[in-house]
Amino acid sequence: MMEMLFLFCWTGLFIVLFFFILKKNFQFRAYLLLILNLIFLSGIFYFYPLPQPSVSFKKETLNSEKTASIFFKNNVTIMLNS
Amino acid sequence: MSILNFSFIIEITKRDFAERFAGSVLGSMWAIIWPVVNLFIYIVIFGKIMGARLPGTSDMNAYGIYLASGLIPWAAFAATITRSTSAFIDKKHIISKVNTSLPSLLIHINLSETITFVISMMVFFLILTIQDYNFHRSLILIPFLYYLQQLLALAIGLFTAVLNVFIRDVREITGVFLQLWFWFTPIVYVSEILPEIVQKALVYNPAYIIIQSYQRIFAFDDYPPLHALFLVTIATHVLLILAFTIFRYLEKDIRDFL
Repeated sequence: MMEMLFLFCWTGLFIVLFFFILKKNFQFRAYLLLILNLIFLSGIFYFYPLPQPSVSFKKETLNSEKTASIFFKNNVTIMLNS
Repeated sequence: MSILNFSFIIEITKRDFAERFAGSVLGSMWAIIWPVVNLFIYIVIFGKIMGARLPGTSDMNAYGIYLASGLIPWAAFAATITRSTSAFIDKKHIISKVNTSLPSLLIHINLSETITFVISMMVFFLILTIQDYNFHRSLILIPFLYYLQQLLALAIGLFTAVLNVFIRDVREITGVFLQLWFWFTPIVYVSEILPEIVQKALVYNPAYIIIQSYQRIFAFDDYPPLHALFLVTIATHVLLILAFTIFRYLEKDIRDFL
């Protein structure tokens, strides 16, 4: 619920800002839109409310499969590479 | 002239999609048939008939899900770059007649590939639902992941499209480069089978970070590597700003050349 609320509010805010800048006739409008887009997308990945503490970048990208699992509704959990 | 001409983008996207299946009896039904056939190959042929398995699991569907969750976004990514590279040359009849915004020609390709991606994903979701698959809550990040991947494709596409106007070999070079990039990214295999030194180098491959995010959501029931995606977002925007600056600098020459 917290994740949905965050994504909805963050996206809504930037859509309003995007159209505000688009309507204005600034000299560097395209660059302003690109920077706005950068703040929007990087903000999502930086501030996303994860339910568990995240691990470091290198460990996370290299060892992800070792601890991951596949869940199906019939409650069968298959550990991969474990 | 506006950088983004929305009515023009929507008009050529509609025309592009209509032209793709023009003259065929089944028409736009082909847009659904292709993803169904592809997913049938990934899940049924590879998973059940050929018996391909992910390491450490005997589940028959795991490899099919892993493969489909990587190949569907890669297909959109690669097609966007390939088509963008020759966009200015292919549409020179429009550019020479109408004073149109050139970036709009690349954005319409992005939109057109998005339609194909959405159809493929819908078919994939349907197959997973039939298999009684339990969707992870990180699924809501898919649109943002896709947006990031297509921004990266737009940045590379804009760069190669500009170069392709002056050096026609760029189209072929892009094709070769994409082929090598595909096999260097763990999409059909898992990263663990690679030598350790290559595994370490993989973190510098933005496509790996993005594709791995999809695989984590669908096949590993996990959250994507958000810190890595944050870095990819910054790198993508730096590349996009750089490509756009080069384009703005050469825009007049591109129009003269065409």
